[in-house]
Amino acid sequence: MAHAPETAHHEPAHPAHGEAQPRHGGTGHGEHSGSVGHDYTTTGLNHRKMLMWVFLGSDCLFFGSLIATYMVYRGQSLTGPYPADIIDIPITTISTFVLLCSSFAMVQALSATNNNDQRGIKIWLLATAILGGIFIGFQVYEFNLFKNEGLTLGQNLFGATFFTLTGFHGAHVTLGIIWLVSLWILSFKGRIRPDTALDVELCGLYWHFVDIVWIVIFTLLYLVGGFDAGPAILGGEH
Amino acid sequence: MATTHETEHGGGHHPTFMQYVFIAVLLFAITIVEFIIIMDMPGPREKVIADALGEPATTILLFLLSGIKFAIVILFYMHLKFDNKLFFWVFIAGMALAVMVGLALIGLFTAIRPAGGGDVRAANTVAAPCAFDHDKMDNVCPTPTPQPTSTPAPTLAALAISAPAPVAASGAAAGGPPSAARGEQLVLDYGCVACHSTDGTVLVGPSWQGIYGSSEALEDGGSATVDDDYIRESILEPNLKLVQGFGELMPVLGVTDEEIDSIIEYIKTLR
Ligand code: HEC
Repeated sequence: MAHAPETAHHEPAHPAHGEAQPRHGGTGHGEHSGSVGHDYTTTGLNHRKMLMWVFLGSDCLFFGSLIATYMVYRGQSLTGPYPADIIDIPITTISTFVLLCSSFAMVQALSATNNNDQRGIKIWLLATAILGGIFIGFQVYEFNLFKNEGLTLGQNLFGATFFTLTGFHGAHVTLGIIWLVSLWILSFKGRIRPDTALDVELCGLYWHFVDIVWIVIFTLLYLVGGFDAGPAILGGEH
Repeated sequence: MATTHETEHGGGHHPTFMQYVFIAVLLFAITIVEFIIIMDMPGPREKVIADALGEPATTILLFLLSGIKFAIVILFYMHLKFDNKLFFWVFIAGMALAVMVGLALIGLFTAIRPAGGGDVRAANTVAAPCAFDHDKMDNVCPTPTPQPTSTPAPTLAALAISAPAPVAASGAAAGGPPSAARGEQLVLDYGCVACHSTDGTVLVGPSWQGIYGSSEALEDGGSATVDDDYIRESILEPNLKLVQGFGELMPVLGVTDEEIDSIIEYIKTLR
């Protein structure tokens, strides 16, 4: 049974960690249920974690379709503003850094949870959420700027595909922030412990996924597509 | 069973703090490299490296770099390298499907595009493109002119690259003395009417109604009398003298000298 160690996945480790952490009663665990006492699964893998990965796999399709739509209509806009008019690569590179940092913070939050470092848990969870918030701040700034420059969802194909794609990504980030803040609040109630580390791990998986989607968006929409100008008839003047 | 600590992570080895820092620095470094490739400071929008490599190579390089970032994040941050392989395959399957759906969509839409790179949506209208005017914060667009179904509608590409070709082939055949009637046909064929009206309406460009012989205020503060030479110059070098209130929006359409003679005759008639 190659899976044996994973079968044991999260729960059997409790007793060991429990020494450092006051055990909560059955009710306490019930709230972080899903895994307690129900370890046997046909794959030997934790159901919740499997569910998360299946969801992320399907979310790939969601973003894949939006990205493909952008690519299909790339350079097809007949009216401006065109990407070259308004895309700001330096600013977006900074916001990309911020998101990468947040992924690092997320990894630290999970480490802290596994080590039952209560202070670290709070700091890193909050840091992740704040960095996510800064990223969203950049996006709000960018959207607003674009709007003032005349690019709206209905302005042209670029606007429609750009805002739909980056908007849904922003919505994913926002959801992640809410999730992180909830975990952060729970950490003050002592609910984030090594035995409930899966809660943090799942949030982390989601968060990193949102990060990799941004890596793709940044490359396609900004680095590669950011210099797309309008139709050639205008001689590239604009 | 492995140590309790490791079991918490779904088995196996798990990067240390320093390793995570290293991974983060690596991700940063790759992003900076991408940035340098595309921006090539200091000149804004000066892509020295990208230009030297050529567009396909640059694109492939950028894809490669972001692919590495993508892989680092899923393998290390998302623990797929250390976790059960089933998680890996579940995710990869979703991703592979997404890539296939994407390629299928792109293939489908590219395949049904008319040959010559025209625009599907422009197929039924003369699409003189809009230009984005930064001062007005808006597009200056011609109103699309419905095209009689008998003549093949010029696509964007046709307008841009081969504008003179359909003209030469069209009814306004070359030869003969300049005539207003021929001029009228020419301005239709060239699509001038998308930007210039004959009834005083201001479209992208000024209306031609009554301009002949009048004095035109220019953007640079001066003025000019609209005569044969002025019209010729306006067509051949549109941006030399800009009419006040208009930007550098008029394209050079490759109108020949004798065609211009006819267009001048036509503009003269627009009182
Ligand atoms: C994309 C829109 C566009 C098209 C197509 C276009 N023009 Fe223009 N045209 C302009 C604009 C804008 C101006 C005013 C700025 C300037 O002087 O260049 C202008 C100015 C002119 C003027 C000077 C008018 C004046 O009041 O002084 C003439 C003459 C003219 N165009 C002729 C033509 C002819 C002939 C064609 C077709 C062969 C044509 N234009 C096609 C946009 C266009």
